[in-house]
Amino acid sequence: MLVLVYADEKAQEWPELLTARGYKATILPRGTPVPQGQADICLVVVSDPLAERFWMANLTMPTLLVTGALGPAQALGRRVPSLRLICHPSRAAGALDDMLQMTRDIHDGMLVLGPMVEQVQVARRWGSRYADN
Amino acid sequence: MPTTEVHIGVAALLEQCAQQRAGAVSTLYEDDPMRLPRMLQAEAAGHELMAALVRSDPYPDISLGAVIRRLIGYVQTRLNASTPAEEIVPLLTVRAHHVTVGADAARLLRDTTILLVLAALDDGAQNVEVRLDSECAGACLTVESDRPGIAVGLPALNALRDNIGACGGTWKTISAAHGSSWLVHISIPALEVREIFNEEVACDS
Repeated sequence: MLVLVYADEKAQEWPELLTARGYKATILPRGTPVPQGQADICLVVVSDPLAERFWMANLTMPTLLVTGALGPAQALGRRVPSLRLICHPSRAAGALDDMLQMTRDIHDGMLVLGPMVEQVQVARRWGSRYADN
Repeated sequence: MPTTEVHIGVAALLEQCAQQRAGAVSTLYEDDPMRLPRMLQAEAAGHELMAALVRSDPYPDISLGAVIRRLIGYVQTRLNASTPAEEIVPLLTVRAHHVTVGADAARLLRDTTILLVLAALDDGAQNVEVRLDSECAGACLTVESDRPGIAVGLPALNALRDNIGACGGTWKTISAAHGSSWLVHISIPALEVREIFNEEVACDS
């Protein structure tokens, strides 16, 4: 899968994450028009999604937005037609393959996924406490 | 040209009319109990906006950034109430940082902001962003819109542009590189030290 990555200065590790998982990632400066036919999906990783809404409205391919500002990002739903999935960085980092696949599979509407709940750690903590008692 | 006192009198009269109308129209919205409060809120916001604009210094105790944020908030309130549910409400955002400008410059920037926002909305803009930043020798105001209405030379805007030039400021109209927005970028020097505020980045949505 070819992924176009738009990331702000606080999210430069995301292209490396994609490459490590076997994706071919092309990094573009924010606001750069998407080259025709050169990618399957857009990954936008920004800390302030509302500030990026002007150029994001021009994106044409399915878009995954990774941001910690989930509340403001939801205002983009009808303003960025290509936006398919908004995801918190903690969840996207842990399940990037699934997030990219879901972004491709959603053809109508938009999905918002919040932070990853650390169920495993919680279970271990409670399990340990139970075992200690 | 009417004096400021006349403007204030007109605004007060409009406020009285709005209150009288609120009492008269309440029965029209019995089927939608939330409709009337929203309309009244929007009407109040409109009058607050008008009252602020006709005064030379409506909020002497708060910073320029806070004034701009408040006025844009009034406009957003009106938009929220007046836009039909099936349509997308235009989104206005404000990011204001600390600036140091004189009283005249602050007034120019305030009036310019409101006029540019209204020009954009009049052109059907769905996204408008106002940014107020400090410069080493004054303040910098940027208004970005997804419609070119802000780039049109309205008479009122031309007059403000001339005044900003007379104050030693600059006014540039730029089309964004990605072609989806237009920016008006205004730099204005600090004529006199009036205010130094340190505001967090704010975003009204």
